[in-house]
Amino acid sequence: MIERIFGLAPWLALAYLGFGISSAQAYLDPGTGSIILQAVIGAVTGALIVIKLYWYKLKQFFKGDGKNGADEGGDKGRS
Amino acid sequence: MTDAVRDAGSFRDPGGHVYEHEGRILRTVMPPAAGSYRALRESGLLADLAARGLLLEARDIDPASVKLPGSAPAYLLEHPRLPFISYPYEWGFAARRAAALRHLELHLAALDKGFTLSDASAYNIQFQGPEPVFIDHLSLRPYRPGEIWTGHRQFCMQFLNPLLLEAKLGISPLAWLRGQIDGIDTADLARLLRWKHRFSWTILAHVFLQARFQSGALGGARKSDAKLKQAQLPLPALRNMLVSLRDFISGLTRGGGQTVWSDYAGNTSYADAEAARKRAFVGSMVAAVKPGRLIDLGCNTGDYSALALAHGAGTVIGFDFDLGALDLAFARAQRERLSFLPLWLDAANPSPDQGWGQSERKGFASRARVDGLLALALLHHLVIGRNVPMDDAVAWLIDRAPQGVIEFVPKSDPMVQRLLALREDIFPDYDEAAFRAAVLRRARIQQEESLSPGGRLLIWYEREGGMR
Repeated sequence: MIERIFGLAPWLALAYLGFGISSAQAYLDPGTGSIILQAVIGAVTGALIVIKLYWYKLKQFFKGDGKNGADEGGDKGRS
Repeated sequence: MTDAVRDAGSFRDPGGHVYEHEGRILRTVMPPAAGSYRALRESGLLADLAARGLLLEARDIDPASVKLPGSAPAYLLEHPRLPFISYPYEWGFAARRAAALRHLELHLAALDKGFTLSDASAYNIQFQGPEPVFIDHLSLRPYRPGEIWTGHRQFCMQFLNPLLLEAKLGISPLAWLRGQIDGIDTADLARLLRWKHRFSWTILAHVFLQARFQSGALGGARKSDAKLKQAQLPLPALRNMLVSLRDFISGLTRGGGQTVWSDYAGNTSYADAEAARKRAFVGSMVAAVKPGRLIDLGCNTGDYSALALAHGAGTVIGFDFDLGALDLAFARAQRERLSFLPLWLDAANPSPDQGWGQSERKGFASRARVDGLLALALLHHLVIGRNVPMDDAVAWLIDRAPQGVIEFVPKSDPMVQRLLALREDIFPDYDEAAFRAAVLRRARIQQEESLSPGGRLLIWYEREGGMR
């Protein structure tokens, strides 16, 4: 899970910068409906992961446990 | 040296094309796709996917070794020849589900190594026996961080929507897919599905929401194209989408209930002794001919296909009209690891030449010329069930392979009586003599056997002039 959260940071940064995708090899029209759906799924997933991150940090704070989250497992994190 | 000929179905991707040259199957990689292909090869992904049976094997050959029309490719690959090219409008439910799952599995495996798929065409999946294999190496390309799944809409149209139509509404998608070879439009499916189907997250998102966003975009509220092009999908979200689709699709089962022939055990009209003689006759033909590729027309659940394989047929492509029987046959091929691919066919209306230039997707007739044929208990369905003249039906069968077994079922048989039960008998010439004469007009009779006096007749024919 924690790798996933750290893995997400660059995506969020890229999204913030409005990084466009090169379409040099995209010979297929992805379709407007599909793009919007994926943008929504992307945003919702991003938000859920951020919420989970803060929830986890909060839990750690109240537990008074200084360990980082490398041992957390079993979270499927489905969108 | 003759020129290689480009496959008429290979034109969409400018990155490369498929050619046939002296019986070999070749794929060009053109300069614009060369960098991507090199990265793919060096990552070890191609070899890994091929070793796992997910991707068709390919070996690099010297591009100068074959005369190709047009400009020179950066790379030239050679693929093994597949036993039979099938199309999504010939797949039963189980085959389509297996193909969809294979596609998702391959996409996930590619993402693990930093690659993705540029499309999701169901035509890029072919079968080796009942095993689906991905055939288009140029669909794999490096993954760009945050990019959306370009093939999502196509995946829905060609895999998910046809599966949902059959699983949730019990309607076969085959006629629709044959008519509209790009697949079933998501908006059309959204209009057909019921309210209760919205309670599935997968259906809600991939069908209803996608259709709504599409129609909303076509109305006044269209976002600018530039903005749409910037849409982002984080890698974990893409992966979750693929995994949840995989889990959902693997849980789908064919709707529509029992079919006429799916209970074959209780549906045969002849005695065990006759069945044993029939098996021995078919077995001896296959053992003598040893056909590399055999077509079993009217394969049902695959009893005689399995028998043919046990007697030395290289691979069997079975065809049947009954979707329930096809799924049982497919499950059997998987379970018993048979080199047997059951496909759907309406023999009175086989797949036509169609698509761009009417040659993109080839018709049944040109694909289905093989080394051996079984046509057991099929002829009466064509002649009596569909009014095809006996001589034409026999000609069509014998055209499939130089040798084979055709079964004649007489009018007195309960199965034929059932076909005639509600209609006038307009077939005074339907008899053994007419059948034998039709065979003899184009082949010689190698062997024949009556399964009972005045009962079913098996003829092992050998076509004049052998292979055509």
